[in-house]
Amino acid sequence: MALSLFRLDFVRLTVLLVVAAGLTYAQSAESELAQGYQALAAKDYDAATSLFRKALLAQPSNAAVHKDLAYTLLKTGDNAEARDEFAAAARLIPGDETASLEFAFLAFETGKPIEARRTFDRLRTHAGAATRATAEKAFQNIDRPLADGIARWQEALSRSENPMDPALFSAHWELAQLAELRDNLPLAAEQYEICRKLKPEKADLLLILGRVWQQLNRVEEAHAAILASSRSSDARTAETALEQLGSRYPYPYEFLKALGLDARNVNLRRELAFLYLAMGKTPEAIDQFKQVLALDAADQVSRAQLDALTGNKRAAAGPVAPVAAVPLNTPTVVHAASAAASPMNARAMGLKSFQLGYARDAIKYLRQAHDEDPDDAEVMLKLGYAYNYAKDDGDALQWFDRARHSADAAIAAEANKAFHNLNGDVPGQTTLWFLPMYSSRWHDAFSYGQVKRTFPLPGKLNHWLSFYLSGRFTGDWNSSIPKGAVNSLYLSDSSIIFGGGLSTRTWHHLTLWGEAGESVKYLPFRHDIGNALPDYRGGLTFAKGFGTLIGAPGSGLFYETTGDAFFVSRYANDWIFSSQNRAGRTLHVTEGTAVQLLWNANFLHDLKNQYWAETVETGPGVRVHMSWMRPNVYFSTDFVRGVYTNNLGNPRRPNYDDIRVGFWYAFTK
Amino acid sequence: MIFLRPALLFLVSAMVAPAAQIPSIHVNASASAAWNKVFAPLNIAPGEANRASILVIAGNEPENLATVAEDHIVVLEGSGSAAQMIGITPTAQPLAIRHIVDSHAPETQIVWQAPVQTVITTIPNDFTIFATERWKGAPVLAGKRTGRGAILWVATDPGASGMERYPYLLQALADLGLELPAQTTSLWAFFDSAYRIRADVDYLAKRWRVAGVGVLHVAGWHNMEPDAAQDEYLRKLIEACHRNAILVYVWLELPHVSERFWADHPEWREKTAAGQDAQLDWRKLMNLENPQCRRAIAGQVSNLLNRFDWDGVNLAELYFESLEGASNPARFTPMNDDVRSEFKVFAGFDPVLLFDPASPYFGKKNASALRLFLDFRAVLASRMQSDWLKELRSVRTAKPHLDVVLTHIDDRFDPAIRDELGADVARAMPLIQAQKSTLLVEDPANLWNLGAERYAKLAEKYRELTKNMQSVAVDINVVDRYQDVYPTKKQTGVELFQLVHEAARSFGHVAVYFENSIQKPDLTLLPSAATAAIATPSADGGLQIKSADATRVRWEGPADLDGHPWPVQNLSFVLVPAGEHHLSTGTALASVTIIDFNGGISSAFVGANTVTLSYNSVSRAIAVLGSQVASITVDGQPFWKVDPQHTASSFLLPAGQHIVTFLR
Repeated sequence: MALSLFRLDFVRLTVLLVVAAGLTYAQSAESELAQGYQALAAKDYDAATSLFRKALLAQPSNAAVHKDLAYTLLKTGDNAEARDEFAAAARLIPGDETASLEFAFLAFETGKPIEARRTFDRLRTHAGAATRATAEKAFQNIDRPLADGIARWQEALSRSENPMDPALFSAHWELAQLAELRDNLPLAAEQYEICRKLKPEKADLLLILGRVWQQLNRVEEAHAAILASSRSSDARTAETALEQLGSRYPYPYEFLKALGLDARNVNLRRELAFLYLAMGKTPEAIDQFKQVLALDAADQVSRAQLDALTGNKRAAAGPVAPVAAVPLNTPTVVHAASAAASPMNARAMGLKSFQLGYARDAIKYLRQAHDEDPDDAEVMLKLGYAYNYAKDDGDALQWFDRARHSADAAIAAEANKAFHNLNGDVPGQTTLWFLPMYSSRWHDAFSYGQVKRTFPLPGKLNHWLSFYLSGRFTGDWNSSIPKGAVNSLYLSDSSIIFGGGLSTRTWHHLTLWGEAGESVKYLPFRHDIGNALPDYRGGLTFAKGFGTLIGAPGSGLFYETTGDAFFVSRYANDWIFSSQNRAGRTLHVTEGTAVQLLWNANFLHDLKNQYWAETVETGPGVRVHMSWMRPNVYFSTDFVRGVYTNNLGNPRRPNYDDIRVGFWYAFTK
Repeated sequence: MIFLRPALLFLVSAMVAPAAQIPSIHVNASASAAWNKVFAPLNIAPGEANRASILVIAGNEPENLATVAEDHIVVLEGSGSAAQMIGITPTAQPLAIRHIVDSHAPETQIVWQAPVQTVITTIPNDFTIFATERWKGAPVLAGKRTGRGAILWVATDPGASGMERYPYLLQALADLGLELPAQTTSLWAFFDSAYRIRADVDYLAKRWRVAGVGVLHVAGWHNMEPDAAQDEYLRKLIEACHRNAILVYVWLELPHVSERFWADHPEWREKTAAGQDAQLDWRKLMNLENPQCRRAIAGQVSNLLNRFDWDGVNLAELYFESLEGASNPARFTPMNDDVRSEFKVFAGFDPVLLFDPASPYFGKKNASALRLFLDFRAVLASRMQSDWLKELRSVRTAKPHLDVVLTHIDDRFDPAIRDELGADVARAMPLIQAQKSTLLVEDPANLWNLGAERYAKLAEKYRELTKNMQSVAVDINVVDRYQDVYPTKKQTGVELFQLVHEAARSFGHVAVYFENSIQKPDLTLLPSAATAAIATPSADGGLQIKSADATRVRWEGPADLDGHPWPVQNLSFVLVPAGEHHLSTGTALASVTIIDFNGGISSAFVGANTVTLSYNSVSRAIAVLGSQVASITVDGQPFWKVDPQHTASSFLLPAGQHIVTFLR
């Protein structure tokens, strides 16, 4: 009892202390704010800036303080910092048009004209009347000179006898820059590519192209450009690219794509050669080393490595020195020969060998270090990586497994991640989709939805299958009206279907699934369906999209197709086959807002030949994704004309017109 | 009373801090030349090991490092045993440094051209880490204060030229207590108000003056046409500058006039060789050879000069486009009808044909035809400069205090510039000398990646044209450079200080383009780098100052200059005039204190209730007073009298050579 009281008091005390600390912190922030405003009133802008910044440490979500700090920074002429504070305020309160406008003006003034133009573009259509007018004027002030400039340089180039004359580099450069500023990305990409042809020695051009391609959704080319740039001999280009590259080490095919863009990049090619070597692909490595030497006969590292691999006498001279010019933050260089053994610190030698990419040496020394100190978590983790580099994933998994159970939380977390990545584990995730829609064909509003949670299966099974629990909803408006309801046939079951199932991992866009559950109706007065019915369903699904899909930056053509073959027990154990196809053009309207103009072509067939499931339909449609929507969310409207391909017992034959207005919402977490 | 003066002297000597220490450096490291290059821009010269206040140590000495660091600034290079002695410990983990992040400018990308291989080093907890390696976060620059000194640890040497690795090394030393004795007050800076109209002009003016700015060149094209709000802002800006002893020159960029002028007069637009209106980068060029156009612009310029209280005019970049010369017709000017007609009369063919592949005059095939036009163009540019200097002369009759500066790109270092832009500085020089104006040399963009040494070489070229280098200034463009430059895209830190210092040593004035492109962490040390003044300690605890310009010298308490009481000082600095002078501890502050002065002081006399200065100034001089005065006379004539309704602490004094007396 005494212990319980003590615990209670301890909890109370802790809560009180936490609350008191929080209050003190808040009071401190308030005090700093008050002093900040006093300093501002006294025109002591430096003090006010400092105090506002301190207050924001305690209240980072206080948009008003961000704005006041911004106005103070405008007083001191620090417009770039003011811009960032207005941006913070606008992020916190997206409807704050003043902050957004201020941000846009300052973005333009401080060398961020693309952001400025995009923000004005958004505000001129999505803000109050006064803001719209201001934004429209500002947008035109930015956009018109850009348009004029583009036209002027295009005209100048068209007048030129030879537009590919190197003397016209600056004209192409100006045109490319203006096009990029105006979000005319295809033109920008075209002109930057010309610039690169005219001045291939200008290393940063490939990185610039990567930036533009990224926005054009040319993801693979963009990645290849960034990868090639990250191995540029120009240090600044390489470092800038490394900032964009991400931490994942590239695959050989990515190196090859990058070399496709930058075939003369010696660093890149040499690194690929060493990567092949590490993977045991000696012939490929030899080929790459030879190509390196064809580009740069003085490349001593490649020469020595090639000699070592081909049995040239010079190999006996000793181990190859590590490459100095390779990127610095990635383990890249692989040594064919072993480093000389040393009686010194095995841990240090192991880590050093690992750092230099000598996987086998690293394993040797790190195992020795592990024997000396079995609790050294970093050694275990590095052993995992070293075995992974040495293509011994079985051992790598064991070492990651040990490291993830170590006492060092940071290393354990990293090792846990590495373990699951290497093991091919897919973590559990929750998916929700929801589709309310109106159909003129049925004069009814329908709603379909599903929430699904997957659970990893143990061992290797998880690589192939996932188990899930699901709740589906299917309902319509008319059925919910007890009198005068129009039976919408099978389009609505007015039920919630609880079930569990198994699905395969998606393979080449194909997924096989099966589910068993219980369908529970939620309308007591609807008697055409049972209160609770067993529900079995399953099938094969194929889904793939091509081109500029909704959500991708930029405009372009697209094609989406889904194919389903599925069994549903409640439709008299029927098999239904469906193919839905949409093709059209995605129009990038503003940042984050896109419209798709498309054409539908859908086919439906079932084994039981039920007339409602025997249709062919086609017609135009439109889908709209707004900037404020999450990804995978959009409005859609389709106008289709359909033909029943089986009119036996069909009261609606032979054709139908249908306007479907819906809203698709989906997310996965 | 006779005993009183020595007693006061003793008392004051006891009270005030000793005169500013003159830092010197001794390097005990293999990279001694490089280290000296780091410190030279701040006038920190090499000294004897036992006398230097800054010691750079790379090896294993001294054994008593901690004791030495108590009253010295010790810079430790690498992690040898000297560093290990104070807890700086190398690990076995390798570190390749190519990209660092410095807390003074965390957003600035600092990239080394060649990586340096070293190991990760652990730093004691009481050190402040100033810079880290970008990818591993390992410290590369760290330091701490000691009793009366400091320790700064740096992972590697600074690189051969001293500027390629740690741009903010000197700022780190300043954070650790490094103080510098001398600062310039005569830096020139360019200012474009376009985007900073909401800034507090008093705040900006104070900041500029602290940074050593003496003349601000303000973009004039935003005010070419009267506009109530823009004009009000500019008036306030000029007043604020004058209150802070900064002269204000209007900066013109003819043939660009203004956005409005361009929009209103499409008929007078300059043309490129591609036949288009000459809108090149931000400049929208007008046809100055058209008499009507020229008259209209002259009227606008005259109006602009008379509407505001300018101290001077900067006629900048008055020649043609572009740096690509005739190879790029889309940027090549002039090709307006007036120039074409004039050239046709002169040479017998239309210069447009120089760009027509079908013409026998096609420039790429007919070099002599092109040469004819390029020479004609250079003469034309020179004539334009002459014409506009004459225009300004007419304004100067009403405002004789207006100084005139001609900003001109250098074609001496790179003669190709003459053909590219039509710029011929040798031709311009007699015009400038005739008007007693100043030539502001702009080094072309293709030289921006070269080191600071270029300024000494550049100055040599101008000594061939004039003996009076005080009338030749140089402009440093502090901008993101298009070349592959290291460690930063824009000049900052050690590199900026090297450039500014070398320019200050070589030319009469140094201008920076533009004031807002100087990074904040550079502002504190900029005035120290921008002075070529040499300060040496004297036996009496004072300082010997030698400088071609007025110099702000760190000083607390009353000061005597050359044995006489000196009235131009504030709480932290004494303003020492140009020449060679001895600064020593004085007995009492002057009856009238002048806390700042913009002008060349020749002498000063401190009386019981008066202070008299003799000065010489090409434009007006500015005196900022630290105490109230009842009246001011200039050359014995009443100039100003106290008026309770209109208090003032700064005074614009007439241009030229004058004697001004301030009566308490």
